[in-house]
Amino acid sequence: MAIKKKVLVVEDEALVAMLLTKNLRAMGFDVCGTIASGEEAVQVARAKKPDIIIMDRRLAGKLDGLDASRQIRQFTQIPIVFVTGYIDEKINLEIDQIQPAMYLIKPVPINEIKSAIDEMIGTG
Amino acid sequence: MHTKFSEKVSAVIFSEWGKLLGIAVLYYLVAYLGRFFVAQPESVATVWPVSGLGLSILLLRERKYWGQVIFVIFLTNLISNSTAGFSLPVSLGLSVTNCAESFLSAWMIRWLSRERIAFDRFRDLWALVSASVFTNALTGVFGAAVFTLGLGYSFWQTWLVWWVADGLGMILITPLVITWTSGEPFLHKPRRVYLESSLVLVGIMLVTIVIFSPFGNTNLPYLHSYTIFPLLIWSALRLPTRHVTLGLVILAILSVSQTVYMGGAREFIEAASHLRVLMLQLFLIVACFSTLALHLVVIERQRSEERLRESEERFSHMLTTSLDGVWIGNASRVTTFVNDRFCEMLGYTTDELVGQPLRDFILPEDRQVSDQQIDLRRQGDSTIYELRFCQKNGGIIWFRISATPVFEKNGEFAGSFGIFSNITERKQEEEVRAARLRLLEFAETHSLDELLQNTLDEAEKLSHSQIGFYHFVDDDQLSLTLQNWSTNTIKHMCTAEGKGKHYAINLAGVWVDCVHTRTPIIHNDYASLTHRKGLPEGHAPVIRELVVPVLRGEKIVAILGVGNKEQDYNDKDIEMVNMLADLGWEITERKRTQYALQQANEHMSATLDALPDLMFQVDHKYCITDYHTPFHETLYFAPEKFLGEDFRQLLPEPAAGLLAAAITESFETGFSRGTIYSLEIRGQLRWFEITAARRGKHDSAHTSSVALIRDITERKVAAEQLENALSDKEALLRELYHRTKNNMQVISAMLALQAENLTDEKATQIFQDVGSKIQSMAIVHQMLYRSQNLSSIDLKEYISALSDLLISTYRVRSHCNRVDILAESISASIDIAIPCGLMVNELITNALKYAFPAHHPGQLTVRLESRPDNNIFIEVSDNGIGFPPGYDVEQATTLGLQTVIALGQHQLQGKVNIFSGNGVTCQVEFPNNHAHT
Repeated sequence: MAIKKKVLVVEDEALVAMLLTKNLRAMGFDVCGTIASGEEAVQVARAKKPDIIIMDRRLAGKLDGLDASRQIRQFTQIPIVFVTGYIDEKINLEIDQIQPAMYLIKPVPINEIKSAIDEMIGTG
Repeated sequence: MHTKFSEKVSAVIFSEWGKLLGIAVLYYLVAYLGRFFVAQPESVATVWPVSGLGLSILLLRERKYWGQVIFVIFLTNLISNSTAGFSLPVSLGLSVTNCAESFLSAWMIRWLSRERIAFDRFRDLWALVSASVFTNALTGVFGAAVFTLGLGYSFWQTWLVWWVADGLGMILITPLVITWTSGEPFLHKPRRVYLESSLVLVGIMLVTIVIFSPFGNTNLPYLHSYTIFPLLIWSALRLPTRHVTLGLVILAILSVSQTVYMGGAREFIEAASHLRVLMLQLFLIVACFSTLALHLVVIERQRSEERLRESEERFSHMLTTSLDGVWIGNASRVTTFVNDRFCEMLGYTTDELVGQPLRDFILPEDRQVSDQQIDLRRQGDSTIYELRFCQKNGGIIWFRISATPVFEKNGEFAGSFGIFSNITERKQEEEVRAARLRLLEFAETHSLDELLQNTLDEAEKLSHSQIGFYHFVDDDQLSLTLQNWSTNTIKHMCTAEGKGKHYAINLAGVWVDCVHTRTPIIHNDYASLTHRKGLPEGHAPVIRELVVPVLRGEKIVAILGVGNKEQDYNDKDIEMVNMLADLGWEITERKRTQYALQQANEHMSATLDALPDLMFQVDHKYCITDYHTPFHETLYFAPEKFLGEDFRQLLPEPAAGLLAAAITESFETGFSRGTIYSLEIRGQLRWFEITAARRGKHDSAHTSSVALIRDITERKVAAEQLENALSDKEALLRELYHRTKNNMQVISAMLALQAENLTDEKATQIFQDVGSKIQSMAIVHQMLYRSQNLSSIDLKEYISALSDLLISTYRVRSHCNRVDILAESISASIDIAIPCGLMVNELITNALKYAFPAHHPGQLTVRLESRPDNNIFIEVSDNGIGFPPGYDVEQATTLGLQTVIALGQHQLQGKVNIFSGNGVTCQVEFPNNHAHT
């Protein structure tokens, strides 16, 4: 039996997070957490050691998705897929410095998320 | 009664009238007695004593009384002459003549003796004799004329007797009266004087009687009148003036009476009778004049001798008690006399100085000056100059010498006389002052270290020391730091290390005694000190030392020490060293302050240079007194026009008024900030902001204000641009909200339209639910674009609107007969409002749809409250049928409840509590600070 890949969802829009979680589970991923804030994301990433993180760039709380990712990079190199409403050079550069990582622009169909996960960590 | 009577008698006697009466009586009596001396010619006295009495009375009285006295003398004369048997015309003539004689004689004597006659000098006798000779010669003419015309006497014989008799009366009586009425006490001289006078007077009396008596004439033929002279000379030489005059009167009375009545002395008897009186008169004149002249010359000599003695005593006293030294030397400058003070100042005895050349005691460096001075003495010049002498104890003393040459009568240089004033103290003060000046000048161009060393060099020089050191005492008064040694100490006296070294005071040597006593300390015998702690290796041996503390307030801040003077240190050294130590510290402090000031100035200057502002200072008359500007191109007027000008006259309105108001505010309150004004400079409008602060006290003539003018044109332009941009963005955002709301409404409408074509009731309901959710979000955007700040809305209004929408949507299917909205006004951002609206939408929709079936109508309550810690509390409750039996909220799988929990807990970071009892109640509490970063 194949071990399910653990995915951590970091999204402050509750309904979006709920839908994303539901779809990922339907696709066979183990969603080990659905988090709304950057601070909590750092803690859960350290505690649950997910295989990949789906990270909204804008978050509730003091840390945004990029800040939280930089802190996560201090203790793990797990891949991160950023979901953002827009992209510019600055954001792109910042994401480049948090490798391995990639970004998707909203609205993101669920199959794109699936492809991104597969690209980053291979199929489960 | 007796007392009153005697007082009245005294009053009468001592009144003017009483005195005049007394004069009259006395005059009459003396005139009466005078008649006993009448000889040849008849009625003309040999001696006429009243002429002397009249003259004496006039001389004793002030001139203003002379009229009264002469009148009384005239009347008394008239009576006396009348009673003597003279006819009235003769009596009148004689009276007038006698009065004139007295008046003229008195006037002449006063004139010759210069208004003072006391018969204590030869001049008085000379005046008296002159008056006797000349006035009598004149008045004798009138007297002889009276006698010749009235009684037929020989004119010239009568004139001669009158002339001599009246003159003799004056010479005899006037000195007697004047001296006996001088006011001098009668018995104040030693008893032996009176005894001697008595013996001489008795001798005169006896010898006169013998000489002028028939006994003498016959039995002692060798006796002549001149034999009285030894006694007269004796009296003249030894007796007081009163007794001398008395002796002469005794001689006169006895000789005249015996001559008139018994023939007189042998040589008189042997002469013709008409010459006898004349011989007697000549004898008396010679005797009186000689005796009085000798006596007065003697007493004048005595007086001169007395004055000379007193002068000598004074001079001697002056020499011995003088604060200055006196030196007299011969032409070779060998000392012949010195006073005690001179010896005391040099420390030698008189014997050690007298006989020695003065040059040997002069400091070798100054001997050349002394040689030049002696040349001046030889030329006859007196000069004042200053020299240093060596004292016996090795010390040096400064003298200010006032030297005068002394010459022999033949003009040969005999030596000099000098007065020596000790000016050592003044010289030392001058040296200290000069040292102070040198140090102050030195301080300007040298470092603190060099200054302290120079201070020590000066202190060493002034106190004739060979060691000098300066320590700073630390603020805790427990340790000190060696700052420097004098140049001489470093070169010759001490090679020990230690500059800059810290010492604990309690471990230092005896030289810190001054720190303990807080007073200067002298150790003139260093070796004998029992508590000395020894010297470090390389330190010169200390023979004696003087250490002074420098006090500032209660603390000792430094100590200065000097050592190894050849003589003992004394109070003067303390004074000098103290002064320099104090000065050293003062200059040190000043240099430190100057350094700090310089640093502050540099800092201030750098700050000013770094300031992008124009700085200017205005006085209380609004005149610019100083300025500093980093930019000139944007100034309204050239800087050279600033100074001394009232800026209100230079600037146009309203800038001048605004600036003046700001400056005035700073004068009154001390500070002014934020006044902004504009000026058109070179065709461009520029904006400035002024900040002003008062300098000095309010309402003082010295009040000024320092103003900083900042060119804020760029900031102003940027702010305007920012404001415009913000305004544009606001408009854009408002439009965005508006369009979002419209789009949502379009979606909602499209869903509703699509729902109408559906036949499946469930699908229709889903379309309706989704539509209402979209509507609930559309309301938020609608309220946002209507809000002022475009970022928050009032939850109370929002929930009310949302409730109205839902009730109207589900009214057909629901049996809810009442909805209560109990809400507080709470402002919330879009991030709170949308999840909050979705949550409330879900809860109200659920209640309307499921809580009130047809058989169980009821009511719905929505509460909105603000809770502590900025929390928002929302409760949606109904009194409907509640959850079905066995329904577990925790395990609920319905999308509606999952949505509520996800929104409340996940998104709003709050707590959701759903329970069922009498109906269903859902409570959500969450913080009102949810925002995206």
